[in-house]
Amino acid sequence: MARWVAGMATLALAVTACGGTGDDADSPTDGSAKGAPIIIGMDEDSTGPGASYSTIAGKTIRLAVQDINDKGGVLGRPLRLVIENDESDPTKVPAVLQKLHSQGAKALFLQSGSAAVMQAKSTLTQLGLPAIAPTGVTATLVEPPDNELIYMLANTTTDWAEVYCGAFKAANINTLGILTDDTTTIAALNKALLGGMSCVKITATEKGAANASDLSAQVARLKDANPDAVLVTSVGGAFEVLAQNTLAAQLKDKLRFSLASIGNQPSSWKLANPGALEGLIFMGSINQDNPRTKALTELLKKANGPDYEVTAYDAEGWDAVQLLKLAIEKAGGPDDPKKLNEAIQSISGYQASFGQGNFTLSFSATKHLGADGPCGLSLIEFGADNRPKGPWATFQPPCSS
Amino acid sequence: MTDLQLWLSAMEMGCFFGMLALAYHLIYVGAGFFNFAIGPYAMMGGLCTSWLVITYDLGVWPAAAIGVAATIALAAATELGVVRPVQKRGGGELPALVAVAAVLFAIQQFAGYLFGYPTLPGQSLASFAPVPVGDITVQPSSLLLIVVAVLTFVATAAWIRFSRTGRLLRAVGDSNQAAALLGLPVNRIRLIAFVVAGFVAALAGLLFAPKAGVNSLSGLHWSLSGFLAVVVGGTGSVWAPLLGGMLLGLVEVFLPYYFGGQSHVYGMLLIALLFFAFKPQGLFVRKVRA
Repeated sequence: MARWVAGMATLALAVTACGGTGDDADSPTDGSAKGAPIIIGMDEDSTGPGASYSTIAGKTIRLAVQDINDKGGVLGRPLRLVIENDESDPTKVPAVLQKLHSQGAKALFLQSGSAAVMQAKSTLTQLGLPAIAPTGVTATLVEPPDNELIYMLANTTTDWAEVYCGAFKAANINTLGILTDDTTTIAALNKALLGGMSCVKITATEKGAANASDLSAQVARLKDANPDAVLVTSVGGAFEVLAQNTLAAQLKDKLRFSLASIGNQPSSWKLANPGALEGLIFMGSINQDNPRTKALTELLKKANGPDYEVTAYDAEGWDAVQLLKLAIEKAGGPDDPKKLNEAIQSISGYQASFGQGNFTLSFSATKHLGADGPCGLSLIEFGADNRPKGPWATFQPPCSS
Repeated sequence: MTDLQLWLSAMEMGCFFGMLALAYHLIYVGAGFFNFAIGPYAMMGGLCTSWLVITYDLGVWPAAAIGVAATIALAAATELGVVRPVQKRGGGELPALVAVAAVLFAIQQFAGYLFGYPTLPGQSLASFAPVPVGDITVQPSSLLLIVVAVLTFVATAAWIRFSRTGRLLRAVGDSNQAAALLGLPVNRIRLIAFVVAGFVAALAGLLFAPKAGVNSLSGLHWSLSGFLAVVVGGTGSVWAPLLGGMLLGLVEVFLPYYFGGQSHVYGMLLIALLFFAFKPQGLFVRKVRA
C-alpha cells in the first residue's frame, strides 16, 4: 500500500512538474480604491475557438481595471470583474449573461466570437445591461434589432471591404481565392465581408475545420483555380498559421491577405515555419505614431515583459475599460442602467489607443460603432522573420481627418 | 494524384495515425481492450514539451524527455489506478472502456489547467534545413515524423517477435486466463503494454505537434483518428495499424482535394460504418492459437 501511495505521489509530482497554475493570479485587486465595488461582467471565451484573441483582450482588460483601481477607482470605488466563459457558443450565451447579471454586474464586456455576441443582443435587452464588445468587427452586432445596449469600438467589415478593394485595385488583383475556417464566427464575418467585395471575382472558396491538421488539399484546389491572390479568413490561432504554412509551401508566388487575427496573435507567429509569413498582408490597427498606443505599449511591456508585442486586441480591451469608466463617471454611478447607457452614448471624440494619431471614437443613440472614419485601419506586411515589418507600401487606407 | 505535396501530406497524416493506432494495438494485444486515452497521451507528450520549452526556456531534448516520461507515467497510472481495479471488480470490458473514456476527458481538463488552453507551437527535434524534393520542400519535422514512424514499427515488430517480453505480451493477449494459469506475469506484462503504448503515443504527439500546434483539447480528435486506423487496419499484425493509418491519411488528404470542403469527415464516417458493418475485424485478422 505504501509503495502504491508513493508511486501515485511520484506520478502527481512528475505530471505537475510539467505545468503551472491557473491564471487566478491575474484577477485585479481593489488597489487603493475604497468603498463598495462596481461589478463589471466579462463574457470571455477562454477555451473555445475565439480564445486565441479573447484571452489577449481579456488580459489587458484585467490590467486596465487594476490600473484604474490603483489610481483610486471610479468615483472612488474599485472596479471588480466577474468572468464567465461561453466558448463562443451562441447556445451558451444567455445562461452566461444571466449568471453575470445575477452576480451583480452593472455592465458587460462581451469578449467572444461574433456569433455569440450576436446571440447576446436580445439577452442584453431583457436584462437591461449595457455592454461593450471590445474586439467586435461585424457591423450587424451593433445594428437593429436589439442594439440599444450594445457598443463596438473598431472599424467594421464594411470598412475592411473598402480597404481590401482599394488594395486589390492598387495591386491589380482581379480574382481572389478564399481559404476559410468552419467556425460560426467566420461564417458570419464572411457573409458581411465578402458580400461587400464586388470589386473582385472570387474564383474559389475552400473551407477547413478550425482544428484541422492538414490543409494541403484545400490549398491544392486553390492552386488549380489560379487566383491572383488569396485571402485567409479565420479566427486565427493554429488554423491561420497552418493555412499560411501551407500557402507558403504550395502557392509561393501568390500575394496573400488575411484578417486582423494573425497580426494580433504574436504567440501564433511561433507556430509558423521559418519565413512562412513573409509577404502576408493583414488588417492592422496598431500604429506607434499614435502617442496613446506608444504609452500603452510602454505600460504593457512593463507589465508583461520587454518582449511583449502589443496588438489591436490589447488596445481595444484597454479603451473599452476607459470608455466604461468615463460613462460611469458621467452617469454619476453604475446603478441606473438607463443613465449608464445614455452616458455611453454621450461620449464623443475619445482619443483611441489604436489606429492613427487622429483616430477617435464617438457614440450616440444612433451610432453604436465608435470608429470615426477609416483611420483606425492600416494594411501591415509581415517580414522574413515572421513578424510585422510595417505598413504595406502598395496601398494604405485614406485618412483625411 | 500527381501532386507530390499531397502525397507527402497523406504520408505524414498516415504515419501519425499509424503510430496512434500502434499504441492502441499494443494495449489491445497486452490487455485485450481499447484504451481511448491514447489521444490525450499523445497530446500530453507534445504539449508538455512545448510548454517546458516556451515557459522555462528548456532545451527541446530535455523537455521532450520530460514530456515523454510524464506521458509514460500517465499511461502506467491508467493501468494501475483505473483499468486494473475496475477489471478486478468484474463486469466484462464495458466498465473498463467507460473508465478510460473518463480518463480521456480528465487528462484533457488536467492539461488545460496545467498548460492553459491556447494552442502551443510544436517543438521540432530536427534542426537541419528543409529538404527539397522535386518541386516541393519537405520540412525537417515532417521528415523526422515519417522516419521515426517507420523505425518505431520496425522496432515494435522485432520486439514482439524476438524478445521474451514480446512473446509474453502475445501470450497474455491471446488468453489472459490461460497465461495466468501458466504462471505468467500477467500484471507485469499488461503494465509493460501500457508503458510502451504511452511511449509510442507520446512520440507521435511530440513529432506531429510542429505541423499544426497542440492544445489541451487535441486529444479527443486524435483518439478517434487512431481508433479508426485500428478499425480499418485490424489487429492481426503489428503492421496493420500502419496500413490503417496510411489509408486514413489518403482519405484525409485526397477526398477534400477531389470533393472539396470537409468531405473527408463524411469519408471517414462512411469508412467507419462500412468496416463496422462488413469487416469489424479490420483488414488484418488476429489469429488466436487454440
